[in-house]
Parts: sequence; C-alpha cells; structure tokens
Amino acid sequence: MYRLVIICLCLSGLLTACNETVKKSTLADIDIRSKNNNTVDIYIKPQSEEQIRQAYASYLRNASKNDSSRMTAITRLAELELEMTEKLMKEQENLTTGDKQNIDDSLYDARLNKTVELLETSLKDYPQAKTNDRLLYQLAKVYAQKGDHEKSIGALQKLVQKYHKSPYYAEAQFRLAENYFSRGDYIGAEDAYSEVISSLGNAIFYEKSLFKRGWSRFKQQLYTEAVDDFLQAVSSHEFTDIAKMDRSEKEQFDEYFRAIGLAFSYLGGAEQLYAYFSNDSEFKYVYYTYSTVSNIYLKQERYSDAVDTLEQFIKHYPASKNIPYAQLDIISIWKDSGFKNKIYQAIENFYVSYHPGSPYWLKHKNADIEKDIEKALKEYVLLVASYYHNKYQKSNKSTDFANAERWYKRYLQHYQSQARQDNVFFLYAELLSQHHQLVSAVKYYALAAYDNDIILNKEAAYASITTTDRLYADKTRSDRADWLDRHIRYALLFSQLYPLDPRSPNIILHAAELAYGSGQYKKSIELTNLVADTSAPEIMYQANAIKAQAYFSARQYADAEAIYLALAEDKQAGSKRAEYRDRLALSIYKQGETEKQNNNIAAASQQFNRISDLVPESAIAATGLYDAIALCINNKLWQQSIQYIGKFQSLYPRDKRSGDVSKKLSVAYLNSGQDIKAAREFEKISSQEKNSEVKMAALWQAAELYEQKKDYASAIRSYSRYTSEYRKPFAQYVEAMHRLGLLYAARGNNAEVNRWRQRIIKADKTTSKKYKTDRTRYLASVASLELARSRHAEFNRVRLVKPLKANLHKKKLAMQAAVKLYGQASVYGIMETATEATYAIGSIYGDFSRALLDSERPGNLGEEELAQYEILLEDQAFPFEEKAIEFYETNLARVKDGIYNDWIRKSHERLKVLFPVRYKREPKTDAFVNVFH
Amino acid sequence: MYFTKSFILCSALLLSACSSTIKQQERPQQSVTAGGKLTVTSAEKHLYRQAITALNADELDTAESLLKEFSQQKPELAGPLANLGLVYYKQGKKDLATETLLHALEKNSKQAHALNLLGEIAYENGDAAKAEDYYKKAIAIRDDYANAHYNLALLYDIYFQDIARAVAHYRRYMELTKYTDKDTANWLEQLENSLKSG
Repeated sequence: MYRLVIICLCLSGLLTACNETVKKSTLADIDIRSKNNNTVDIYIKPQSEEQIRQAYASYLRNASKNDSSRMTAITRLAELELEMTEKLMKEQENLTTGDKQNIDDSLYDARLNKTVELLETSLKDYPQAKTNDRLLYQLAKVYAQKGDHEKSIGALQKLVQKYHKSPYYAEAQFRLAENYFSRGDYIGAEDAYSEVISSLGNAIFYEKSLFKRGWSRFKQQLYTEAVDDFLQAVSSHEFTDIAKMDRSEKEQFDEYFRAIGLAFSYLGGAEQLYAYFSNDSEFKYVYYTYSTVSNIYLKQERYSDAVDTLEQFIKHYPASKNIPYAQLDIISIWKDSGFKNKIYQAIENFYVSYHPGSPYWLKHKNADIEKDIEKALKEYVLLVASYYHNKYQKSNKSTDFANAERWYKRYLQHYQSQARQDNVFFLYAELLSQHHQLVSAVKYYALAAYDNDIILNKEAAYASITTTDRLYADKTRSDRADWLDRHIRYALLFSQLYPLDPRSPNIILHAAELAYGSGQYKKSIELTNLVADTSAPEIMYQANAIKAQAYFSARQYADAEAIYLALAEDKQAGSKRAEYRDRLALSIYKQGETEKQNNNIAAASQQFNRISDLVPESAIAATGLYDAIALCINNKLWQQSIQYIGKFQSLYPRDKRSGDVSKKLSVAYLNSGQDIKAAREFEKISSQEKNSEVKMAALWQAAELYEQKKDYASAIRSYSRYTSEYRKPFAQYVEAMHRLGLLYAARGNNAEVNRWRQRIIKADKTTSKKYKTDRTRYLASVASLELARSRHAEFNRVRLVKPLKANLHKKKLAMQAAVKLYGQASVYGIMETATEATYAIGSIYGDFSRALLDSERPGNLGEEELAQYEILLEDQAFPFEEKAIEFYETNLARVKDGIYNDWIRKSHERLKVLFPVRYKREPKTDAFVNVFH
Repeated sequence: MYFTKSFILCSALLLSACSSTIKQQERPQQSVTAGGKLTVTSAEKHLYRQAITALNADELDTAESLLKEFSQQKPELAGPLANLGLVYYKQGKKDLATETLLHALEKNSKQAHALNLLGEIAYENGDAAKAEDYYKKAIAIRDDYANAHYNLALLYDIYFQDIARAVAHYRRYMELTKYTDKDTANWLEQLENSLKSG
C-alpha cells in the first residue's frame, strides 16, 4: 500500500492540474489514458502507454498476492501488453516487405509472452475470479496470435466448460466449431455450431453458424438437414431483392444457394426440389434454387439434368413469373452445350411465346421481366439469324436464306431502332445481296450506312456503292438512271469522309466515269476533286483525265485547259500527250468562242490567238489564229489583225487559208490607212490566188488603192495588167481603160490618153450589145467626145489666114474630123454627150461660117472684086449657118421629149442670135394680178 | 408711163367690184369667208393697191413687203400670193416664186395668173410638158387670157415645133389683144404661110 501511495504520488506529480479537492487515489488512476476525461476542465498531461505499462509493471513487482489490486493490475497490464502487440502488428502491416524484416520480432514475441505470462499468472493466482472468462478469451486470442493453436483451443474449451453464460461463450463455441470443421470433425463441428445457434448473444455468429452447420451436415451426407440449415441461413439473412443486392451481398447469396443447389443435386435433383418445396410454397427463392441446381449440373456438363431441372420448374410452377427466365436458361444451356438443333428450336419456341408482341405479355405484365426477356430475346434472334446467315453463306441454299431472312425480319419487326447499333441492317443487306436481291440490299445497306448524309457504317457505305453500281450495270433495268444517281451520291459521301481509304480512289474514278458518261459533268468534277493530293500518281492521272473531259463537257473551258495542261505535262501521258495537247488547244478555242458569243471581242481574239502560243502544233491552232484574225477584221481592230496575220503567215505559211489571210491583211491595211501596203497585198493576191474571180477583184482593188494614193505608176501597172488579163466583164474592162485614160491625163501623156480613148471606142464597137451597160456607153461616148473635143480644139486653132487655101483645107479637115467624132459621140444614146455633141457640131458649123466671113481677104483684089469676093464668101458661109441652126434646133427639139440641159439652153441662146425672128421671143408676163383671189 | 399709172388707178378702182366683173366660173372661189361674201376693209384695199402700184413700178422690194403684209392680214386670198410670186419671179427668185405661186393655187386652184406664171417658169426651165399643162389650165379657166394663149403658142412654136397648134393660139391671142401686137402678127403670118406651103 505504501508503494502504491508512492506510485500515486509520483503519478500525481506528473499532473499539472490543481484540483481543489484531492480524491482518494486508486489503481485506476495509473491509467489516466483509459479514462474518459474529455469533460474535465483541468488539463492533465496524458500518460504515454509505455509510462502506464511501466507504472503497472513497477507496481506488480512490489505487489503481494494478497493485494486486492494486484489481479486488476495484472489484467490491466495484460491488456496493455496485448494492445501493444496489436499495435506492433498494425505497424508491421503498414511497412514494406523489406522494412518488415528489420522489425525486431523479438519485441513482438516478448510482448505476447509477457501477456501470456500475465494472463496465466492471474488465472493461476486467482482461479475463482469472476472475470476469468474474459482472461481465458484473451489468453486464447494471444495464443492464437502466437500461433499456438492447441493452447488457444484449450483456453476456449476451458472457457466454454466453465462459463456457459459468458458473453464470450458463443464466439468461443463458434471458434471451436470452426476448429472441428477444419479438422474434419463434422460431428464436433455440428455440435459446436448448434451450441452457438442455441446460445444467447449469438447475433454475430448465428447465421454463419447455421450455414456452417449446414455444411457440417452436408459433409456427413445429411443433405436434407443441410438444406434446412442453408435455407434457414437464407431466411435469417433476409436478403433484399436480387436486383438490388450489392456485390458482397450477392456473393453471399450465391454462396448460400450454391450450397443449397449442391445439396439438392446430391439429393437427386429436380424431383427432390419439388418434393422439398411442396411444403414451403411461400419460399421466394424457389426458381433461384432450381436455377442454381441447374447450373451445378451445367458445370458438371450434365446438360440434360440441367435442362430437366428447369423444365421441372416450368412444369411444377407454370404460373411463376420466372418461367421465361427458365426458358432462357434452357436456351443458354443448349447454347453452352453445343446442341445446335436443340438451341435453335428452343429459341424458335421462345420467340413464339415471348416476342414483344406475344399475347403472353398481356397476361403477365411486368415491365422489368419484359425488358429482360426482350433484351435476351434480341440476342437470340440475332444468334439464330446469324446462324442461318452463316449457313446460307456456305450452302447457298434457299431454305437457309429463307430462315435467315425470317429471323432478320423478326429482328427488324421488334428491334428496328437498335438495328444500326446491332449491325443488323448491314447483315441483312449482305444476306439479300448474296441472294441477288440487290434493290432490297441497297435499302438496308443505306439504312446501315447513312443518317442523311452522315456515314455511320463505313463497310455498309462501301457495300451500298458497289451494289448500286451492280444495279446500274444491269442494262435490263429501266431505273438505271436512279441507281446511277444514288451510286454517285454514295460515292461522293464515302470519298468525302474517307479520302484516304485505299478504296476511295477507285470509287471516285469509277463514279466519276459513270457520272461523266451520263452527262453529269458537275458531279464528275466534284468526285474527281475528292482524289487526295497524296494519292498515287496513276490515280491522280486518271482522275485528271476524267476531270478534264468533264470540265470540257460542262463548258468550263478554262478549268479544262488547266487540267489538260497538267495531263499533257504528266509523265504518264505517253502516247496520249498529243491528244491532250489537242484537247488543251480546243479548250482554249472554246474559251474564245464563249467570249465571242458574249461579244467580248478583245478577249475572244486573245483566246483564239493564245492557242498558237501554247499549242502551236495542234490542229486547231491555225484555226484559232485565223478566227482571231477574222474577229479583229470584223470588229475593225485593224492593227491587232495585222499582227495576227503576220503571225499566221509566219507559223502556218502552207495553211489552206493563207490566201484568205492575205486578203484579210489587205483589208486590214486598207482600213488602217495603210493603203499602199494593202494594195501590194491585193496585187500579191492577184498573182497567187487560184480563184480567178478573187484574182481579178484583188487586182482591181490594188489598182484603185494605188490610184487613190496617187501612186500613178503602180495604178497604171495594175489597170494595164487588168485590161490585158480580164476583158470580161465588159463594163469593168471599159472602166479600167477609162481609168487608164484619166491616169495618163493626170501625168500629161495625151498620146496615151487618146490611145486608151480609141481602145474604149473600139471595144464598144466590137462588143455585143448585151454586154454593154449605160456606163460603158457613157464612157464610150465620153471617149468619143473627148477625141472630138481634141479635134474641135484643133479646128479652132486653124485660122483662115494666108495661105488661105491650105488653112481652109486644114480647117475643113479638122471640122470634118471633129463633126464625125461628135457624131459618133451622139449615137450612144447618152443625152449628156449627145446634146453636147449636137451643140458642138452646131457651133463648129456656126464658127466655120463666121470664119469664112472673117477670113483674111486676098490683098490683090480691087474694090468691086472684093465686093464680089465677099458675096461669094457669104454664099459659102450661109449653108454652114443654116447647118448650125439645124443642129441647134435638133437640140431644142429634145425639150418636148423632156430633155433639157445646158447644151439645149445654149443651143436656144444661139438660135436667138441666128434666128431672132423666131427664137428671140419670150413668154408674156402679166404686169400684176388685179384680183384679190 | 402715164398710161400705165392711169391704167392701174382704173384697175384699182375696179378692185372693189372685182367679184362682179370677173367671169362666172371664178365666183365660187370668192366665197372664202362666212356667208360667201368677200370682206375686205378699206384699209386692206388701200394696202393692196399700194402693193400693186409698187409692183407695176418695178419697186419690187416695196411690193414684196406690202404683199407679205397684206397676205398676213388676208392669208386666205390667192391674188396677193400670185402677185408676190410675180415679184419673186421678177427678182430672179424662181424657186421662191414657184413655191409662192403653188401656195396661191392652194388657196385658189383656178388662179389663172399664177398658173400662167408657173408655165413661164417651166418654159424657162426647159420643162415643156409642165409648161403646157399650166398654160392649158390657165386657158381653161380663162379662155380670154391673152398672155396665156401667147405663151402656149410660143411653147408649141419653139419647143414642140408644132406650128399648127402654135398658129391656133397665136390667133386667139391676136383676137384677144385686138391685133395690136404687130410683131406677133408678122410672125403669125409667116407661120401660116409655112403651113400653107407645108
């Protein structure tokens, strides 16, 4: 006691608190840690476990056996030691493997040994202590921790022998039962478990003990009793609904029923089940039990027994909601067993009974079950469809096709919304395709492949492409165009989404070719544009070949040009290079045509011209350049046309249009004011041209141009050549001679002037009337008139002076010649020249008359002789005056024929002088008008 | 000259009574105003007399001005236009004369003086057919139109050289002028002789 007081004092010295009232110290005060001091207001520094343990140990070293607190101290110290060992154990569990080796096991063992020592000491020193059941329990526990199993069991046996009412009794019995069970002592185990089951305070071990007693009995082949225990354990557990069980719960549930099933399987199977449960119709796990038994058979590969078990359930519990599940399980067993004939028949039956439209569901409304069955049925429908489909793929028999089709249709009837995710559309399409039902196949391929324009199933999309192609290729079909459109559409979608798919290039090329062939050029272009730039060169080449054609046919000539250019430069073009270059040229030409149609003349001509820059060797290049020339000519772009013509003549000198181009050049020169150059071109044409009419026209044109530009020498050369080469048409021939006369006149060469006048008159005389025109007659009359004027002038120049006779002769000759020529001039029926000629003849006669009267008189005449001479002269002159009046009157007489001109007016004037009595009278004019109205 | 002036004065005095002195066939042409009566004021008559006096005196510019003024006041009358045409003719403005005379004929298609003058212009232009047409129309309107007969005779004589028809109209002219034109009488005699010898 003294020592205890000292300990207390020591311990109290550790306290920092200052309680006003000091309580009486007890052993419990050592173990402050064990007190609930949370509510103490004062602060007490906690004792460490080691300090407490040492305090107890110190106490025990000095305590006598009679000390009433000694046993308490021992027990407490044992507990502390036990706690320490447990703590050490936990610490060790948290260490890594390597560190564990470093832990000092001896400390752990020492603690356990110390605990055992303390407990054994207490049990020995205080055998009648009331708390010895607890000490025995702890001792069993420590021995178990030490691995001393026998001593542990021994401690437990002591506990159950002496302390039936101990709170540790049930656990001790349970641990003993477990010990018996593990040693195969099933009778001992059964008894021990039974003790647990029947003891109080067994809550923790009751259900477990039931289950383990069941197994103990099972081991003794007491199957019915075992089932009893198992089912009691199930009932005791009060499982929630299977669907709501968590994992551990379900595992336990399955463990129980595995045991139940196993027991029934040993009892003899399904019949025993029915017999057992006939007494317990309320048991809610009947089906689960059957199912478990069936599964056990199944694992044992006792398929028939497994199925039979379920069939027994179906038989005995026809109203059970689990019938469909049983059916499903049967199917599952057949499926696992490999009995194909049985499984497909089972599925057929199952489908008939439980498909979503079945009347069964009207009577057995249970959404959860229906959902389960529907889900399972869908899998089996797919299974069967797949089975027949595979079979058909191998056999190609129509019966297999029909079966497969039936099952796919069943699927689609009930599960169409899931058909895409289950790949059924595609599979069914494949089936139909193999059966050559291509139209239907496309329908399902499309359903599988596309959501509008989105591809959901790549392979189905590909199949839709190949199938539509097959349909389009069938020339017996009337709807080929529709299939082609769909083929192109699918090809576009595929290629857009999977441009790098190795099949895409061929899809594109094929569809593009078909599109082009059917005139869908835009589509063809769209397709070929999808060919990836990274595609193989030969693919790019083929795509370009199609694209170029499509652009061309779509009249997108600029685009066509670009592609043809690329093709022509492509190494793969080979022998087709020339063709591509020709098409390139044609593309440019078409651009020219388009510009021309739009009246873009400059642009059109540039396009036409461009061909010969880019593809000069092409057949159309010369034509393009020729068209550029023509366009420029027609639109008066003279300088441009001259430039093009020069290029044409340089590039294509042997072209059949060279001559025409020369003509156009002359026209261009002409219209650009370069008349001399134009004339030279015309002259060149007149020499080189084969067509005589063109030659003649060109020569005439050249001559006229020279004439206009006053290049008289060249004009005379051209007109002269014309008159020598072309006498027909007559009018043009005479005109040429007339022009020559004018040209020579301009140069003052009267001899040549008169020569050409003579030639005109001669030509007129020697040419048939039918070739003559008013113009030729006029020109002939003018020629005659001019010649006459020439002689008239000569007549006027001759004066009647001495030598009178000679001059008179000369004047008479001139008069006769002039009158003759004037006479000729007046016979052409040209009034202008006829009236002039008539007037001129009158004038010549009148002038001659006066010339006679005014002639120089002979100097040797006397006055009378002179008078007689003059009378003689008057006699000579008078007839000429009469002749003059006659010709003037001839002219005047033309008035009544509606002809009146200056020559007639002059004739009238002359008559007024020569015959005034008659002609010098004027109309009588009123002086005024003497009326208002 | 005195004679001429006296003649004009006499003529002018007759103007107011013109409608009663002209031939029967001209009368309907007078009915250019309401009620069929020619209404010319004294002032207008005076103006017209002044114009004619100026014309007769070869005061052509004055005559032209007065006649234009009168025609503006009496645009419906053909006589002043015929006189204006005569002024233009005398001025050598044949085109303007022709235009004005045709205008006069629009007012009165039987304005014989205008027709005669148009015949003269056609004659001078060498248009024999047109001249014959105008003259004949003038004579058809007024068979007593001496100058028109003479002019038609001259046309046949000179341009048509149809002596017989020329003689017929020379004779009528001579009758109407009471054989006062001796030059014409001599020439007529020559023609008649040529016809006889002919």
